[in-house]
Amino acid sequence: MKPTYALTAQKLTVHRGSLCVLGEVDLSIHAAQWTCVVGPNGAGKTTLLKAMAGLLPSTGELLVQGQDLRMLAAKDRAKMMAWLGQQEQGSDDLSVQDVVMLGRLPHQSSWAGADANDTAQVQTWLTLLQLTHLKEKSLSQLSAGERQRALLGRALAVQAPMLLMDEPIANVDLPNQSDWLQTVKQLTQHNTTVVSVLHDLNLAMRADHVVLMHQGRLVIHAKPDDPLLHQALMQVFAHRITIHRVADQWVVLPI
Amino acid sequence: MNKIPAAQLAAWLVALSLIAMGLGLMTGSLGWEWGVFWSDPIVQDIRLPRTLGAWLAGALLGLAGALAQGLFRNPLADPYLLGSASGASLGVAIALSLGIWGSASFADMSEAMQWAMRLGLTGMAFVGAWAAVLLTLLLAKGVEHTLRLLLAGVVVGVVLGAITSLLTLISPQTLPAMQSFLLGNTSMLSGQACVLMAVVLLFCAGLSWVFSPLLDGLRLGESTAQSLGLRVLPLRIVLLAVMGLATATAVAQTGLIAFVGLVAPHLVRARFTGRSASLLVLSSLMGGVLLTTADVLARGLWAPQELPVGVLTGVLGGGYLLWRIHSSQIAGSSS
Amino acid sequence: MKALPKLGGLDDTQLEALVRLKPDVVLLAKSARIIARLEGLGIPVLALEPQTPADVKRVLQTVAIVLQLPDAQAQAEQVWQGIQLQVGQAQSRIPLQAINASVYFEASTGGYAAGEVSFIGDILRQLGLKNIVPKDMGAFPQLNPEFVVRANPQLIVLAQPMATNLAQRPGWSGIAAIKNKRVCVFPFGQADILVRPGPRLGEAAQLISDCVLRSFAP
Repeated sequence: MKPTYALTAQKLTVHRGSLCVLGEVDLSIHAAQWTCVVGPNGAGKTTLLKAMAGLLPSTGELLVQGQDLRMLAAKDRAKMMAWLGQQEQGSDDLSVQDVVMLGRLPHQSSWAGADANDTAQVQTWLTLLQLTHLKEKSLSQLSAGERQRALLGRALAVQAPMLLMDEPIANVDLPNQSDWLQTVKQLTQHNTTVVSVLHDLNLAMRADHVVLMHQGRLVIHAKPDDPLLHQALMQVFAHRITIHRVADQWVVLPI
Repeated sequence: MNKIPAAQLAAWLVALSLIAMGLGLMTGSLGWEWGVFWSDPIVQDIRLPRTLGAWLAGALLGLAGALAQGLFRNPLADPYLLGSASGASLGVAIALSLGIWGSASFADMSEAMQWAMRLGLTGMAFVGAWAAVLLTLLLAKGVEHTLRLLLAGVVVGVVLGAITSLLTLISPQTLPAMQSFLLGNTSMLSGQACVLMAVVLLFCAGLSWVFSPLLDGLRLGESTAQSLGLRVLPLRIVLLAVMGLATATAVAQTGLIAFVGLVAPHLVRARFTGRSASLLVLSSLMGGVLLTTADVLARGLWAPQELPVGVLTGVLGGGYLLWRIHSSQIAGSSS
Repeated sequence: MKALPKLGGLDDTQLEALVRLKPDVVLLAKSARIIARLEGLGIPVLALEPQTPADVKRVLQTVAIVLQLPDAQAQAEQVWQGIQLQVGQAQSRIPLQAINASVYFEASTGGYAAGEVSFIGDILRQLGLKNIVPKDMGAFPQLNPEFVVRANPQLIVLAQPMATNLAQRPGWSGIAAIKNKRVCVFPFGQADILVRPGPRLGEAAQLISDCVLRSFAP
């Protein structure tokens, strides 16, 4: 069966001034699967993600659900792709409920505020992410893990078929990381396409697909089991890592 | 502090406004008089427009302050950030200087000077404020980078301030009048001024309400705001323009009043969190209450002499901020 | 006195130019910041700041002595008498209906009125006019416009820049002075003489009396 692609990019390029930070990336993201973008610092992972989300000006073809991303109205694009940024700062005085409600913005008109549907959606996500007991608290009163869940809730409230996340679990402890992995699994089972940038290679190797970036170029796009991927990883990380199979998972360790 | 819903806070602020305005109607050159005699022309012609005008100017400044703090993501932002204060001062300085030189003959003056004379102090202050904001936007080459905007605003403020000082140096007789403008003054507000401010307030509040989702989105960062479908650049321009219009209108009518725009949103946020749209309206109401109260005190404390209302807002506003800093230092480490 | 070089405005005297002129003595106001500097340079200074007509008399005598005029006392007295004559002439020009008329003198935009104890207030008093601002409010109080409306002055005196739209000030159209068109408007050059007259107080008195005569003409 021919795989469906949620997003396809051809010769995607991003320039910052005269510097080329992303060069001619050809990429097809599988629908309803989790793809993880990895690479050393400065490889262009965030740039790629932002370009895919339409948050950075880029050249080259970019199709989302078959439509030209650049031709879409801002709100339409917003309903198709939800974004969770790196170290997103919620305003400290916003409550969890307020933050999650902000995710409904693409569905609201300028005049009206939130309607019953929005409120119901927010409630659903709060429950799913176990935040209901915290909904009145402001972000500053939460732990790192709870805060991350709230911001994730905001992104999920958009109800977009595609979710792009940039380092979503950077400061989060292991139990919360485990929860996050569960959430991603559930999302893909419900037909949401997830693309994340992770610097933690161990977590990244749990994805359905891995995209390896290096110096602004795409090195390889493969499944975690693919030996070509392992070879590429070794090369890109200057042979300072080893890859092992432990307890039915790929584990990447520094030498 | 416990938070209360928007509607409740709004009701409180409206009640406070009415009380403050009531007091304003009872305060005049004889100090506080209990009871208002509506038939008294002094009450009708002087106190009513003045009290109402103070509220409207305060509301404009409160709205502008909330917009400034939302657009720049900075709790210390105030409506005068983009140089509108120095622009207005320069406009007034030019008008005052021309008034002195132009005593010769209206017909002798150049076209520009004639326009300035026609506009009068109010018009020139308004034009000056706007010109300064435009200059800042030009200098910052658009609204994309908030840091550049802020820096440009500082530069414009300093340069225009220097030109203003130069003008007052050349015509030192304008000094007392300049001082009166710089310290704020509601004594000459007319019914017309009130109508003008009311129209501008409704217009600005309406536009702010409609475009307030940008402020909500910006609370999560620019990228996120964009990802939520907000067209950050054009919306920012509109809200900056609204902020400029509200500030320029208030400053033209009442001179430079310190701290109202800065403090009103803070006071609101102490008791309310939620949508930016509500925050904007509540800040506006709060600004109205603040300025009306300050004006009543300015008129009543030393009747029949008047304290400049800007001095009172400075003292009260500055005092409140000091208290906030002090109490947050105490509470600071426990989180 | 022949023409003198102009060395600056209110408080920014050009020090170099001043020293180059090698003055025998420098006369200035008490509040000038340059006093310390000049004394440091060894230039004799004399601080004079007449706030009342009595001050003016003393200042004239002091200046006469400093100028080392022969018979300084008499010379000063002569100039003083000249001033008094001007004031007397001004007083005589005030028509009967204007005696004791209430007057409001606006010294500066923003409602700064000249009270009885100010220089110009004293001149107005000498001319037989009653100031609506009582003594206890000081020299230049900032008045609530209501006060002026209540006091209902019969004559208003101010400089050109403040006079625009006077009648449009809220509540002011009913004031007697405005209704009867008894408003004395002075172009800025003359207004300067009025607010800071010093030895020109005779001139100031005459400017005002001329206007009063015109305003109260039947």
